[in-house]
Amino acid sequence: MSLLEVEDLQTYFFTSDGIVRAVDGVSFEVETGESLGLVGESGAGKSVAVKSLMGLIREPGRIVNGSIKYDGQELTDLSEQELRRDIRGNEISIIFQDAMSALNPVFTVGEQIEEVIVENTDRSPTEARERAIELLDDVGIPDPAQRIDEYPHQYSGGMQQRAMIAMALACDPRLIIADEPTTALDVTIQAGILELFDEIQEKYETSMVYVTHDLGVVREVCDRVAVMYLGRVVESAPYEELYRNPKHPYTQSLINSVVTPDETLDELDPIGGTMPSAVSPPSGCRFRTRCSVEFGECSQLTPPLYDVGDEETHTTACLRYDDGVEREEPALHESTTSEPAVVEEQTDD
Amino acid sequence: MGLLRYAFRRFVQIIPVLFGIVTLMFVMMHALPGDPVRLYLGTEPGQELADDLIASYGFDRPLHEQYFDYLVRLGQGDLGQSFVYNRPVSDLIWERMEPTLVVMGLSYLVALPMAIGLGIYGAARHNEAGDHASRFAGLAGISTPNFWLALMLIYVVTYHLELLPASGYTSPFIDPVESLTLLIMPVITLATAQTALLMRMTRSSMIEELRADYIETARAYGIPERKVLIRHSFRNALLPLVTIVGLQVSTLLGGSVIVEEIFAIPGLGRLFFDSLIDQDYSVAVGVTLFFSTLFLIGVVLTDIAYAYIDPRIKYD
Repeated sequence: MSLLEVEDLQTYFFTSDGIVRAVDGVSFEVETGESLGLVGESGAGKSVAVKSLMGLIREPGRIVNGSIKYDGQELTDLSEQELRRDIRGNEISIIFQDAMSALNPVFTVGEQIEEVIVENTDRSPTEARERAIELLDDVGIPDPAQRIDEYPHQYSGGMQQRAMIAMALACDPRLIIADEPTTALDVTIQAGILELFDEIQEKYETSMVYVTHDLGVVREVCDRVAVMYLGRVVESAPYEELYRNPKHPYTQSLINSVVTPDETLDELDPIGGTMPSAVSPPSGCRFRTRCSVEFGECSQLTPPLYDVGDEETHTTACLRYDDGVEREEPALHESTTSEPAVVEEQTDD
Repeated sequence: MGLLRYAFRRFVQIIPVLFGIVTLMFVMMHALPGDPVRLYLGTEPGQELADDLIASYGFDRPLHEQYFDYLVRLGQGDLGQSFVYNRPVSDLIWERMEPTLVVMGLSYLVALPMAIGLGIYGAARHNEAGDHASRFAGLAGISTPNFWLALMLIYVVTYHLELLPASGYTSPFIDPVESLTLLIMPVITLATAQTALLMRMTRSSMIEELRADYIETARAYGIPERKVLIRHSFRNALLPLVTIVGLQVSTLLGGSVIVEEIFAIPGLGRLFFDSLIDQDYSVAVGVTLFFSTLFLIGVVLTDIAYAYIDPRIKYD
């Protein structure tokens, strides 16, 4: 059984400008010990999706539909109290993008880690302190017994993120969510943090959801990748398979947009246009407005995730694969007989 | 170590400011039209008597001589002589200090906890009914002039309800019960605007802090909401609040003039007011100096508190 099963998750924000469908029907699974990369451009809904998992969505946002099963338990049924007591910190913990602002400036690093331990476990304050020093040592803070009493601003950017990771590990969670943890860091420091993620995953045997917009980072830490676009997962596959054999036009463009040192700018093929607004997303396939292989049905049918390729775990949400094999144009009647595509109901754009 | 040196330097820096205040006050008092001796003696004084009095206080000498004379004596800790009371100004200030400090202190004691409590409540219930109600009450409190509030209190509580005496002062160190009955209305008068202002400050400061990333961190790590509010947000929200509390010392001093006048409290505010009416130069300058010192100490303490609350601020 998967540790985490997210099915058809919809998280909307009810703003005065309209309903922002930040996450609109996202499904993915994380196996025990597995590391899943959640990849997409800014605004794809990655962060909202993972924050939904922990019930961290606040007004005017709300999970409107879908199921989040963690270890067989339905998280969307839990009250705020139960989430706080049973899930947050001790079962699932999260690492934020900007450690500098995610740590409270008026408390020492030690006070913050110790508080998390004391709140979530039976440990006494003294034990919590010992554990916190251990953790800081584990994440590579030099001289942890001294530096535990320093304030976040006395740490460098990389060390702040390491302290954040120590906090995430504090209560031995089984799932760690990392929300763009290296985006704000220099590349050299980023490499160190990514190595650390590999180490801790081995040592603590945690599962991980790693949110990033950087496919290169995904290769370092993730076993499997789910690509998100405008609130939906468009393709999901093991990393190697996805990189060698991308099926969805968005994934293909995304891979072509990655700058590698041996490439010149001319060889890059960035994706044209910008992501449409999540207030009034395009009908049917949401990528069609920027897609080079779009055809008529794309605006009418919402593609579900089709199994594709040789790998069983490779799925993509593109109508060209409606029977598992790529082709130029699907016949609408055929697609309805084999695996029915969902007929788009929203017509509000 | 750093703290002590910092505090010492800041207190030394007060001296030139006080020097400026004394100079300004001295010049302004003497620039006022009218003659304190004439005021004091009434309409038909003997010329000889007036001349004598003028000479004995040195008012006949050139202004710059009087000024330097005053500074020299001030340097020796002598605030001069009041010619209305015919007593040393420092004695007068010493006698009148207690009622003012008691009223001010009690006002803070009432205003601060109420303001902080209501402010945190408002922020926690942001945009709900309770928040709107406390905000409205706050606005009303800020908008009410304290002299009007004082008069209304006397009119309703003393005149109609006959609950509390309208005026006078008894030291709480002599008769606590009677003192309290006399202090209730003055303290309410002073504390109302204080509470309202500080409450709104606390509320907006807390609302901002509650949006901070580290608050999301605390919630994501299962910290109970009560601790998120009190421990994580409030400590950070304190900074702007402390600034206002420090600066409010001046407002309270201004308010004490009005309140002491209305409730007939023999404090510094009333002494100051009377000294202006009588053009009692040395008393006016002396009380100003005392108020300014109090205010400046408040400002320095604010800065020190800042560095204590926020570890990112260094003492240098």
